[in-house]
Amino acid sequence: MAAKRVLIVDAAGLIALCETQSAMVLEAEFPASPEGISEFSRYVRGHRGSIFRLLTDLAEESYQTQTLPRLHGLDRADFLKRKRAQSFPQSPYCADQKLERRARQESVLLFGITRAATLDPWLDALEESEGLLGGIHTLAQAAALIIPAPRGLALLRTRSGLRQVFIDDGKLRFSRATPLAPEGATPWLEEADKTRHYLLRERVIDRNTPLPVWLLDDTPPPENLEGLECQMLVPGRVCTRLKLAHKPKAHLAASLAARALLRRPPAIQLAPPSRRRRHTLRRAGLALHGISAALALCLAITSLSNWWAREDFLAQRARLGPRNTSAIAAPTQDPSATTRALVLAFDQLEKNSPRPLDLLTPLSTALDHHPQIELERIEWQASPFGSNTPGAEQLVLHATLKTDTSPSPQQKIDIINAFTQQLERTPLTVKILSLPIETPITGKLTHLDSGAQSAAFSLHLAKAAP
Amino acid sequence: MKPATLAALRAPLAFFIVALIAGLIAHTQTARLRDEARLALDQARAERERDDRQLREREQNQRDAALLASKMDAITRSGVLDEPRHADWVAALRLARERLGLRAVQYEIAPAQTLAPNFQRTPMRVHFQALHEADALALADALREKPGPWLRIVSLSITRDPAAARDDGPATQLRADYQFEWLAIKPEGEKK
Repeated sequence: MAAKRVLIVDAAGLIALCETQSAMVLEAEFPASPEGISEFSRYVRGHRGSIFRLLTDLAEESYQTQTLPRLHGLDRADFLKRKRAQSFPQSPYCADQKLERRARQESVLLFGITRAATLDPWLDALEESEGLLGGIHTLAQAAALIIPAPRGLALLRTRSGLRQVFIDDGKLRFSRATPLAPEGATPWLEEADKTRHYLLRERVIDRNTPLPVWLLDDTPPPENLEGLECQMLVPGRVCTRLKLAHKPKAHLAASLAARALLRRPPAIQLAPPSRRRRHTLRRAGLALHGISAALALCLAITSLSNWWAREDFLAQRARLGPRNTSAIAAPTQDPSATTRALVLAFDQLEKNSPRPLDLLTPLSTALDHHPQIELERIEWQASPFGSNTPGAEQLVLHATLKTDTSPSPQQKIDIINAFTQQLERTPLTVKILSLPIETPITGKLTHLDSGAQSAAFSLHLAKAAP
Repeated sequence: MKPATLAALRAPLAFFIVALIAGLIAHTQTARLRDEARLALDQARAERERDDRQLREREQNQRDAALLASKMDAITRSGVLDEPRHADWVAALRLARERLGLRAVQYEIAPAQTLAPNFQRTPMRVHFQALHEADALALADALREKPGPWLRIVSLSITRDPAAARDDGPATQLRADYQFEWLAIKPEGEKK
């Protein structure tokens, strides 16, 4: 991972800080002179892989809150671009930050460096030395990150003087730098009071509400000014919050702001795309590397998956074993067509040879239950050979009723009905051909002639259909 | 894209192209090898299934052949393929008459005739008197005892005959009339 370095530019020159895991190390200081700039070029060439973020602490910074009509999309972007060009005609190092939106208006903070010539020598040197510019930020942007409250005025002592940063609702609203001759908190508060009056005039703050003032110092001020509510930003605590093991010995405020900037870089920065081209290209290259690596990884995974699938298929094929072709190819003895025809003919013989016992056995059983019936004659007939209707044989029986007394016709009919019912249970289909009565039968027997005297009857039996 | 930009991105682009080409080659080659292996496996499975099916069919054919052979053996032993021999039938009839106590046995054997393809039919009619229905019914089984053509019963008529009972003395006398067919199987090649 590329090392992260912060270059703090002020009127006196440039301070180079390098971030380590638990410290901000002062690496070099370059005066604002041709020698200093060439020395800076050498420094950048020595750290070509690093990403440099520029932090400005200049008097030529401007922070203007502007009220705009509410616009959207490209219209808003074009409008803001024109506004930035009006506010910073001599500098491309400017940006806008949305503050609040109302129904028809919105307020925007336009901020940036008013004179590009202050920064250009350093940026040219950085570019010529192939340094990677991650972004340009103001010290106020970074300082806003170390104030532990959403509203207040931070007072930081830097190399170029006193830097005052006002934030509201967690957003940077205003900043200014003033030369600071004497040491001590009282002159700081006097400067803070001037800023307060300016903010009151601009109606950024309310007159009745005291303004919280955060002083980055170890010693509290001896007295408080009216309308100000002094609170201490104890450097030790700030260091702990920023995970710094030791308090920076030099450039305390700038170092802490740089640390805060690196830990949580603001999305808004001042460098135009042309200045960040190398860094953008590097990021694009890294993204391309990442995409390439991901692509290669995906393709490698699918290739491995294919390979494993192939190995699995080969193993499955190996498990199938060799073909047993000899068993299939061994000669077989097929029966001849003549044999098949003969067996078929024999089967046909068996099928077409019914036995009289198939009908006589149930008849014999039924006769055992009806001893009063005596057979006179049976005529069994097989179905014609080759008729393909096995079970079509039939039996005609002629019998007489033998009883001690002379039964009535109805009794005769009852006996014969019982006999036929017995036969039908075997199962056989029974048709009555003649009855021991003289009345011709048409339909069901319901009425009998009482004068009937005959005892002979005949039945037709056949196998019931399955 | 500007030449300078292209130059700056030369290495990542080259890496991207190399990774893409190498990855695609690896992917397509391994996919081809995988598909070949799968095809070979599918073919091997299909071959095994075909072999198994052929083996099953072969075993079934062998079982069918063995069954046919055993049936053919039984057919041969039954004598249904032999030439009809009237003397054997008459001898069997005489034997049955003595064993079953049949009386007044009369028979008529008609000339042989072709019944259907593969079959030769010789009608025979037998009249006799018997003491019991079982004796009359047992005649067919008695005639079938010796190997020879297939005996098919065409019709059977059994009549109680009280007149016969009066003449010979026993309490019950039956008169039976059988119509048989001696059926011989003639293989196709032997037909004339």
